[in-house]
Amino acid sequence: MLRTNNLVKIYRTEEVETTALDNVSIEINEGEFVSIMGPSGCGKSTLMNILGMLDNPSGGEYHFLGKEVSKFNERQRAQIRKENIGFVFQSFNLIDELTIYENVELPLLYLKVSPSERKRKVQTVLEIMEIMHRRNHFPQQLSGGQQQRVAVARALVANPKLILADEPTGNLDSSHGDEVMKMLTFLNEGGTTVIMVTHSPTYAEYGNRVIHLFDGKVVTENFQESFRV
Amino acid sequence: MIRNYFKIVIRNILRQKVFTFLNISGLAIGIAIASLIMLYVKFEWEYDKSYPNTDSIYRVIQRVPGKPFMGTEYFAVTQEPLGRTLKSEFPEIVNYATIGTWKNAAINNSKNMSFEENVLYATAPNFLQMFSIELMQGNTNTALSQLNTVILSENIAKKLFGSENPIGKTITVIETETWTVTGIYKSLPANSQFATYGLITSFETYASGLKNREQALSWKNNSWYNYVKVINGTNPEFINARMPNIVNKYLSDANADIKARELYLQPLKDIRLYNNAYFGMGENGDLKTMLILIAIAIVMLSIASINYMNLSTARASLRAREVGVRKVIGANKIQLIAQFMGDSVFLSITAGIFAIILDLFLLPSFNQLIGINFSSAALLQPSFLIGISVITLLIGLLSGAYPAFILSSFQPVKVIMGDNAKGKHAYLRYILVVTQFAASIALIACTFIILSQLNYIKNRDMGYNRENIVVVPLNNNVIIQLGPMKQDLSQNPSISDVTACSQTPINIVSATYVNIPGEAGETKVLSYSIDSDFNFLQTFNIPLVEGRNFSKNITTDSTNAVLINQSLANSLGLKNAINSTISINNNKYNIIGLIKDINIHSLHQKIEPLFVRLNKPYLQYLCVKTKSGNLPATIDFIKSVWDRYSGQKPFKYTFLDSDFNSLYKREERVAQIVSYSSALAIIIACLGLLGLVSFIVEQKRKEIGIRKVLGASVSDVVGTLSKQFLQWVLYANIIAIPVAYYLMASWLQDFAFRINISWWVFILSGGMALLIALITVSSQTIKAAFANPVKSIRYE
Repeated sequence: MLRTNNLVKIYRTEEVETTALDNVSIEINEGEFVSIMGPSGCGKSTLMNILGMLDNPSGGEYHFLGKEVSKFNERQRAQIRKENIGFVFQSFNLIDELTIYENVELPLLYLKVSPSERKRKVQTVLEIMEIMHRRNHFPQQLSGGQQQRVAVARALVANPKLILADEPTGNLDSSHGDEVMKMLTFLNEGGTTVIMVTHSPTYAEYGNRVIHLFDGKVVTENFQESFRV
Repeated sequence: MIRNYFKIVIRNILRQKVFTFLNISGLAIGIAIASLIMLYVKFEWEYDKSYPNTDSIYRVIQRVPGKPFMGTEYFAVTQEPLGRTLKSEFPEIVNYATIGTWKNAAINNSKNMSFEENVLYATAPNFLQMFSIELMQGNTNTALSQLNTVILSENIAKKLFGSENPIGKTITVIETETWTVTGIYKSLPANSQFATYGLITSFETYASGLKNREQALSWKNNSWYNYVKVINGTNPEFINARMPNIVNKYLSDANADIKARELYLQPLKDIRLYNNAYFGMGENGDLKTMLILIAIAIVMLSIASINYMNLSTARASLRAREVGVRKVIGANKIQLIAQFMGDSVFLSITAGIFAIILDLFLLPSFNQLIGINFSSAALLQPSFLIGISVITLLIGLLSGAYPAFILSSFQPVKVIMGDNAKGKHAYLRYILVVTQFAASIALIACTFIILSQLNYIKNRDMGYNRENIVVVPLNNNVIIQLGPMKQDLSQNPSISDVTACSQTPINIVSATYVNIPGEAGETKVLSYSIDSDFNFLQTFNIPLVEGRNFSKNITTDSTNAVLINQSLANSLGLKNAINSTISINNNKYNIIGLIKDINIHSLHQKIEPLFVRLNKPYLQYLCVKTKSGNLPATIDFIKSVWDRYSGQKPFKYTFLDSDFNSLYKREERVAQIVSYSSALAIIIACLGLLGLVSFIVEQKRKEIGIRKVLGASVSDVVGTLSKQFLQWVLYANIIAIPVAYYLMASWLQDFAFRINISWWVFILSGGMALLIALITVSSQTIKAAFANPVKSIRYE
């Protein structure tokens, strides 16, 4: 599904040059559930942003679905992104002025999906996420776990090939965290590729592979297939 | 998608009610004021342009070089034969109309009800054709072909005859002439110079009643208006270039006194706003006031749009996260720009609608202010609504553009990751606020300067007394019995002096040439003149420098004595004026007294030469000086004496000091306009400041909390927060002072007598702005400073 080759990301300020990613080469296949772990500042989020095409690397190659996308401009990246990738953030990032239903519907609006189709798809994901009864509420009226379920629903609604989850459980207590992890696993079982950044070893184990980052370098890749059986 | 944007807009409005209210109301006030001004400018701009032939119609004016009168050498009045002569001499001239006017003529309708109306005498049917005056009843070519016929405007016809058909009915003019109504014409639009005339009769009807007809209609008499219509596209300069031939051929012999005369064609459409010719038919437009108003409209609109822009960007930066999310989900830049533009336009249209509603309420006061009567229907005419829509859309797009482009270019990563772009681009915001306050401060300073000049004008010693003087217009009955009437009036102890005169000293418009007999004609001096009765100097307290006043005991005083002012003595080069002889219109007068120079015009003009002589037939006003005290009783007494002598003529009176004040109507108007707009400007600027302060305070909530935890007192916090805003106002002063100084210095140029602009004006206006800003800012900062720090820290 995606492959990086010696990915480099360097942040420059006036005095300091920080290497956030140092020759990262990974490959993720369709249908995988990959967890990325590492201490704060190791480059996890930078990697996620580049994988999600929210940011361009300073060097190296990034092949997404067979295309080399690292030199793509903003417009081209946006096009690939909205067709293929769904995002889940630690801080939910729902739009406060829109209802749950409208938040979930938003990606479909940008994909110019017809109204009847939109209605069907939004209802389906809301039901899967067990949040249908809250569809006319605003995000502020929901608990953190419910908000994150909405965010997952939104990531899911356009039926993306890849879901990028950046510490999806970071702001949640353990019971809500478990719920979200179950949802992600459920999606993965349905065939969606999931890449998740997490601090929690427990949640990392939901993935079938863990990539450890340290100081911008990949240190180990554990295949956990065996543990889960 | 549009529905989605729309929902967000509405929900944002509801969530931030105060913010939205400030935003919309500031813009609505700005648009409301600007659109009213637009209405006025349109009215003036289209003046006299409603006739189909406007572009090819000209008025003939004359210039008398070197002989200024009332501050100009140009005169709108010319000679009666001029119109037809020009038509026969110049092939480019295809039509002419010669016109005379009579204001406030006493008209009686067939039921003998009295009216006072303005009558126009014109060479018909030329006039009707030239100005395309449509007859609703009657025939354009024949309506005025008979003597003593008249056509009425639709409005006057209704006024004089109600619902009856006036055709064939008669009206009586000054109780002596009877005219038959032969036509009704469609009333002219209010912005045309003939609009105030409701009756048109033929020139012949008027001329037939003239006593000295031959003189009046000769080349010697300058009391008519001549209009000509040229072939379309003729350059008037070609005609002007050949005008000297006309002057040589017809005018030189007739006016041996003044050889140098020049004739010019003045475009009809320029008469209202660019006229410099004296004795014009209608009131001149006020180009200066119009320009001031346009400037104010622009300033108000800019202040309001700046507000709108500032508040919108501040508000938009709160939406940075929304932008980030939308981008991650798949929105492209164009879609985001469209969303924010749409948001801004939606709000500005709302403001536009409020502006129209506001205009409906403001219209009566506005009418009073500018002296034109717009109906509320004028606010709903398409051109006005289109104008407002264009302004509204432009402001919406312009003020939406800034947040739209800034926000849409946010890097979604940074916004999502909390590296918020808040507070960046703030410099532009500061500059805009400084500009706003600079404009407000400049307006406040202008207000102070205009008001103090006005105050100076009204309180300046003009050299004569104008307090407690009642002015009563005279008629022939009374003039004959003036002696006994004055006698009766002076019986009342509340009346200290009575005199009669051709004009009161406040604004003297009659003038004639004076010279020293025996000297060549070139030393002639144009001197303003007053014809008076005895007691003139006493009544107005005009000081005598040398010589004596008129005396009833010296019979020659009534025939050949004259009082002159110092300025006339100087102009004539008289060192020992008393007992010298001067010649006025070839009659010799003996100077018996030298009076002090007094101001005989508005203070726009300098002091000019003046003479006063006794001349009963020309008296027009009775001036009664009363002792302060029971004024109503005194006026009742004057009325009772008047009734005894006037032969049932109605008693009318004015007070000299209010007549004096009306000389400065225009300045009063400017003063009112500028003071209202400076008040509004500072209000709008403060609305913007209020919004901005509350926004910044909201952003700094955490900083305030931390400062308090670390030991800052409330006053420390308020000081830190307010300092920045007050700095802006100080910078604004630096811009405002030179601008206001320059504008006011040029405004004051118009006055021969004027105040010096003093420094305190700027201290005061800057201080006022600072104080108002301080109150606005502290209303928010104090609240923030008192807030519990624990809450705001936990808030993040």
